[in-house]
Amino acid sequence: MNAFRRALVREVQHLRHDRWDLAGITLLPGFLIFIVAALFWQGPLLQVPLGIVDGDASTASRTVIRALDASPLIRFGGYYPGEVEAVRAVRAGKIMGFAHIPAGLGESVARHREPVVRILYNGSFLTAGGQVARAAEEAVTEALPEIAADQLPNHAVPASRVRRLAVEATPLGNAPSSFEWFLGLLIFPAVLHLIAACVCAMAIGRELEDKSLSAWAKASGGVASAMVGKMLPYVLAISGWGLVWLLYLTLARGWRVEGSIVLIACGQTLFYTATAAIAALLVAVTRETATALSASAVYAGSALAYSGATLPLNGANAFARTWSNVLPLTHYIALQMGQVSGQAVAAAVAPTTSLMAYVVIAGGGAWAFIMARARRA
Amino acid sequence: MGLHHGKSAPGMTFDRAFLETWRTILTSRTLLSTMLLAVVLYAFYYPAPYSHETPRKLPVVVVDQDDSALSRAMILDLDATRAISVAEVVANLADAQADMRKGKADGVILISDGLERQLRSGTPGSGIAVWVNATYLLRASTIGETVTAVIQNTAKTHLLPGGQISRGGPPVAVVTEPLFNRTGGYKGYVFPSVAVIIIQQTLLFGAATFMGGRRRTGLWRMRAAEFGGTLAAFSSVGILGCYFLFGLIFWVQAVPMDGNVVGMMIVVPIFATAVAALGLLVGSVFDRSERAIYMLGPTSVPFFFLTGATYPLDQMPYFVAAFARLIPSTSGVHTFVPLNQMGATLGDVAVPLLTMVALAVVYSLLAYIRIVGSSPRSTLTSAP
Repeated sequence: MNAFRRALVREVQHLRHDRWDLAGITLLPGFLIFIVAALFWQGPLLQVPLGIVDGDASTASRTVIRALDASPLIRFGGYYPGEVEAVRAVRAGKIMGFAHIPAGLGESVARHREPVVRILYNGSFLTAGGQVARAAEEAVTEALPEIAADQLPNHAVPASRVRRLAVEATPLGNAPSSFEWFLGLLIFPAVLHLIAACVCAMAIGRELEDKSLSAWAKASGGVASAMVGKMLPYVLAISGWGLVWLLYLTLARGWRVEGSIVLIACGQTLFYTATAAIAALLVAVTRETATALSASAVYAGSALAYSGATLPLNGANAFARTWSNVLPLTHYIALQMGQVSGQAVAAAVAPTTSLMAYVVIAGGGAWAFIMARARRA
Repeated sequence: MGLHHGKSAPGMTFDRAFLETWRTILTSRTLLSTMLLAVVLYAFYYPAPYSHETPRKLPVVVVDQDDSALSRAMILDLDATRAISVAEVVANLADAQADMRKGKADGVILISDGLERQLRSGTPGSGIAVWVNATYLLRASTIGETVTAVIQNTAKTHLLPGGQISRGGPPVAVVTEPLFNRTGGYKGYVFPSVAVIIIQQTLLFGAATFMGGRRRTGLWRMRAAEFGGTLAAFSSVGILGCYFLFGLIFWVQAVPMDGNVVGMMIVVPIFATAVAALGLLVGSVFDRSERAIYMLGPTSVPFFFLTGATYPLDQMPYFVAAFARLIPSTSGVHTFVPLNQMGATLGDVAVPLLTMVALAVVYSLLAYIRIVGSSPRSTLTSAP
């Protein structure tokens, strides 16, 4: 206990004097939280510019254009004389895509010629492009009965048998397709994960003398408790920021966690403890702060891509699936997103156990490494 | 004079500073691994989780209340798609919801009683309901789209007798196609943008690590020629990295390309200069070399989202979009993705290109003022 307290007091005192080390757990996460919060303030995509190539220029095409413009996702992005000009505008970033209305749309609808409305979108910016294209497709499909009715003499459309199949889709947990709730929930654990990895590696790395932790280990009076005392301020600070972020999303922005928010809060502290243990292990093994930091930047910096939260890894290659399970972020995201979407507490057992395994294995490994070297020295 | 200025000895010419910086990069394990080896590693490491391109085999639970030939055919069709895998077929909704709560499924599809009858005779009251976990937006939209497509197809093929398809089917075909990234794959979407971030962050880390290290020794101020040589050396690292990723790795990784190669080769040095200058500038306020990754590492993920590659810039609040434009990767993504993937001309990317030129000039000037200009000695000695 003594070693723990001594290490803790020493670390807090160090933080008081070193403004850079202090900034790493105060200004840096604070600024990044602020900028990401502001970035997704609007939430869902709205009013994305969509161009129109109107080959028909008739009441029918105007109905389609009105329907497109009425979609909250779409803003009228201008008329283009042909697809070539429209593609050029997509290249220049003026529009995210365009709808090509074929000549004779109205007449063809009435005469069952099955005209083709083409919706082309920027596949290089797939998220925004795909969402706009889906919205455009919906708007066009919904405008069709009106067009057909306008063309027919009695202004009535025979009921389509295909339309008899009603499909009702209910998005649970994020009805407006908000990016604030989707990416906001994902980005922050990923950012804090890397911050935790860096600040902890820096804290342990500071004790390196001639590429060895042996001197520190001898003076510490108990490596394990000193390590815990040393890491405690960082884990607490980062967990605190995680809590701030969670409370911002739920209390200030009104999003709802269907499961247990307490479990998420505990889970993230466990996750940052695991990160600290890995940082200690990296420093103990590499015996160089710079290398430990570089390794952290690689494994934690791209962990979000491997978490399967954006593109699910169900169909991925064996390396991606295996490595994804090796990275701690994957397990934390599974725990967090599970609770967010109202999974049972039992579903959180497996990810929690995995996170504990990092603490035990990485922390134990770091301890063993340091002890073995200190004994040899 | 100038003894404590160490390396900024009068003999340091542009050429010598350039070579000296390269020598430092190649002999320092940290710089070599941060700037050169990391780019090679990322070229294979980053695309790996996107190599399967689209969401596949997302588990769903089907509640089959209809239990008819039609509903069974529908379930087989659903399971046959690339996107969905039917994890289980159950008889009541409560079981399915329990499965979802246990985390076994991403969605529940309910085929309600009387669906086949409704389809054949038109009696209302039945239908299909889909519940998806939309906290993962991509999974939700994939499941929704797949179910809609399968059901439309089932209705057409299983029910309507041949002659009625044309009359009963939708009167207009709506064809939706992605441009440039023609398969709509995720690797072809994410990696070209991430490549810009990879180059920027590794170069920022490297340049800031170098300057932070010189700050630690106290010998960090430079003469104009030395500054120019150092900046050119770091820029050349960035240029090499860009050509490597945009030229070789995009091809190796089979990223869709419609390249304006000449345009890209012209723009790369501007981008590299902006990033290298920013790295030297930021590094010159750090207290030690390790501070570079410590402070800049955690910015990688936010910087990626600030480029607007996922959530477009015009959707962000003005001040955020303005701040985003101060980061070279933002104009980098909006210049290089059109040039490399979309076959754009330099005229098409004029706005982000001019932003990038402005950033290169301003950051070089600021770095110059900080590292060279504010040194009273250098102003003295530069006088004739």
